[in-house]
Amino acid sequence: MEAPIIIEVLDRFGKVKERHKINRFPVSIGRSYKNDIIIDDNYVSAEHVELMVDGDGHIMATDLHSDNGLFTIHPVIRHDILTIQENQRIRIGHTDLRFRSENFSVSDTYFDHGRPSQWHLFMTNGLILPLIWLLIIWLLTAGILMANQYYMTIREVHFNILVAAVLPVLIVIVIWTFIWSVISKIITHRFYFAYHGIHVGLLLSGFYFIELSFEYLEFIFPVNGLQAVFVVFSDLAFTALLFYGHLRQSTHFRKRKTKFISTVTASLIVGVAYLVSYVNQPQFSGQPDYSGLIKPPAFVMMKPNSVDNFFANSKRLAEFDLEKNDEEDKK
Amino acid sequence: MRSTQAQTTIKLLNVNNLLIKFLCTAILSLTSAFSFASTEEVFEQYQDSLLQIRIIDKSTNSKSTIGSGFFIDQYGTIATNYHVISKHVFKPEQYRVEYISQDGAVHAAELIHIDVIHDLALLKGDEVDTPLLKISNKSLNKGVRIYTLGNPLDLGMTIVEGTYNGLTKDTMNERILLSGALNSGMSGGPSVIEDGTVIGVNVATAGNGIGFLVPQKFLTALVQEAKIKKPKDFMNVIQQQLLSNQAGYLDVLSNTPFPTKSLGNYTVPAKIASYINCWGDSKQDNEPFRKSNSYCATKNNIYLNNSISTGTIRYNHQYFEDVEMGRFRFAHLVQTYFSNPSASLSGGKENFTEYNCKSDYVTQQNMLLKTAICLKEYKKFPGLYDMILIFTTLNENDKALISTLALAGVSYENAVKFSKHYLGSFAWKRP
Repeated sequence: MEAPIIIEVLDRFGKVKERHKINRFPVSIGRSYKNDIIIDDNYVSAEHVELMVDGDGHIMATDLHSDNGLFTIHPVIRHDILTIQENQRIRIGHTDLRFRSENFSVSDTYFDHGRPSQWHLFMTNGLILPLIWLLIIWLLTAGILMANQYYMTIREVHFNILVAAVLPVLIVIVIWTFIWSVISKIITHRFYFAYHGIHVGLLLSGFYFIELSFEYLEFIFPVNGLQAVFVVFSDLAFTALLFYGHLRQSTHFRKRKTKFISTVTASLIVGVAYLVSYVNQPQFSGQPDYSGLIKPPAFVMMKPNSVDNFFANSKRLAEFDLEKNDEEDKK
Repeated sequence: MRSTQAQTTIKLLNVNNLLIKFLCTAILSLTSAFSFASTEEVFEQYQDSLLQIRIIDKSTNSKSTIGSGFFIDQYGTIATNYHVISKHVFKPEQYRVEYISQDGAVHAAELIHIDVIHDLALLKGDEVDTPLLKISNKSLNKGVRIYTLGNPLDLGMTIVEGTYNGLTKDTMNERILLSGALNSGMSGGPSVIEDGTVIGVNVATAGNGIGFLVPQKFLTALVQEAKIKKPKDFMNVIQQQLLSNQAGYLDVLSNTPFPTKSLGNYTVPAKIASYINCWGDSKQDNEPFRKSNSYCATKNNIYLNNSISTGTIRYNHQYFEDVEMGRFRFAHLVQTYFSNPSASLSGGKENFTEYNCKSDYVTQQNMLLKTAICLKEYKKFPGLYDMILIFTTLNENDKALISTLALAGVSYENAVKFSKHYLGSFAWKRP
């Protein structure tokens, strides 16, 4: 291996922590601040290793009588002096060093569709404006929740009933936002409260809006079970989006990894929720189950059936597999 | 002195008391002497043909149901109520039938034939040579004295006196109305008139000293049928009887126009038969809407066992008017009532399948309806269904009519025919 070389200092997960480009030799490595490469690891001696070039141009690593020695790994062998090969990995103390040549080929560049997000820049800079936006979005969310409650109440409605219905949800939103802000603070050293709050507020509003659209969809096309399919998908999508947004802002994960984690998390959460409700549902309901949605008459868009047609298509309702039922009962 | 005076007064009082007591007793005995004489005559003459019927749980060998019954011929044919022995009909492997004669002896009995519609059953016991109760062929006048024999509350044979009050006109199946106290254990016993002939079989009580009897003609018919048919599969017998019975009353109803009444701008079916009861109410009670309710149902059902009663016709109209809700909230109100049918038919997994439903938009004359129909099948009687038909009108933003029809134990064809006729009897006058 010939100069110039690149020395990569790895963390304990094998990820690159630092890269040093070396043009001149010898190079001293150790914990002392006099070294060319300073390793912040208490198991590394003050003067631990020296790199130099021999007469043939090979790079040699020499152990400077360190306390914990110089090792190659796979297999683990202690060396006093070692010829460095390309991509060689050595261990001093608890730190791994890897040697690369200038010709090391890097992986393909990720193609980022679009420019850096203005939204992202806006939300992560400044303090007052994001908080004003947070307030607006949360008021919007509260308004949507109240409107929903208002239309769902068939008794007389008073304002305090609406507040009582919405307040618990708002409290949950604030706590949720705070938890993610703390996670952000721990991992990225930034609080991002407004970002997390706006994210969850917008998603919740969107969620209500979509669910409402599905109701109208089912009213227009009264097919039993159609709405249920859409609801499962929207539950999945919204949960995944929720985690994606929070994780993007509070971790250093790459986009692809974030997508993967949020999809898996959402599938798990939604899956478990549906599983629990499936297990808890009574084995035999004995109750009629049909699409009972009603919206104002103007939303009837399908051509209605004649009475005769309606009943002509109902014959299949009378076809029960009694033998199969019988077998299930015996089980 | 004082004490003697007091004692005398007490004595006098006692004498007075005794006198009053004596007089009362004398009057009472006189009145009862007349009635008891004839009652006991009837009782003694035929007591050997009266029986207690018992349904015994084979696993625990304990009494599960008791009722009464009586011999109708010397070959040991016993008449009783179907509902007394219904457990044996549905689960012969778990329940057996036995009867106790007046001398206390226990005999096994075998099921010969049943009539679920009129609640009658025939059993076969041991041959007998006691005097038998004959079936009456007289037509009765109101006020005729009737002696109801049976075994109430497991206390031994008793006799209750009552009067004939004619045939009920408002039950689906003809019954004799009796003023007299029937108890539960008297079910299946005979009711006789003074000449000792049976005019009916005790079947039910409505409380308040009102009882019902199955007229003897149905017993005669069942006895005749039992001579020809010897059924083995009683589930099939029940199914056939239910089907032919409903063919009778549902056909009549489906082929004549329903009497109607108006509810808001709508015309709706009213009391469609004498055996159907209707009642209604309307209220606002501080609600942001007005609601009027009209509810109709058959007065009695056909009892099959303690978890299935069938033959029910039930319908309900709910009329809503918006006061201050607005069309979107009003629609939600209608949805709340439309998706929870008020006239439903319950039933467990053991006897029924789950409901199969569909819903769609339907036009009927000038009305637009969202209609749903649901069917569930009787597991033991394939081809018999419980049906729910429910619709709401979608004609106006601020008024809606929700109507529910529930039919129990009908064939698919009868359900559809009746439902079409039902839907066809609604009308809407555009405001």
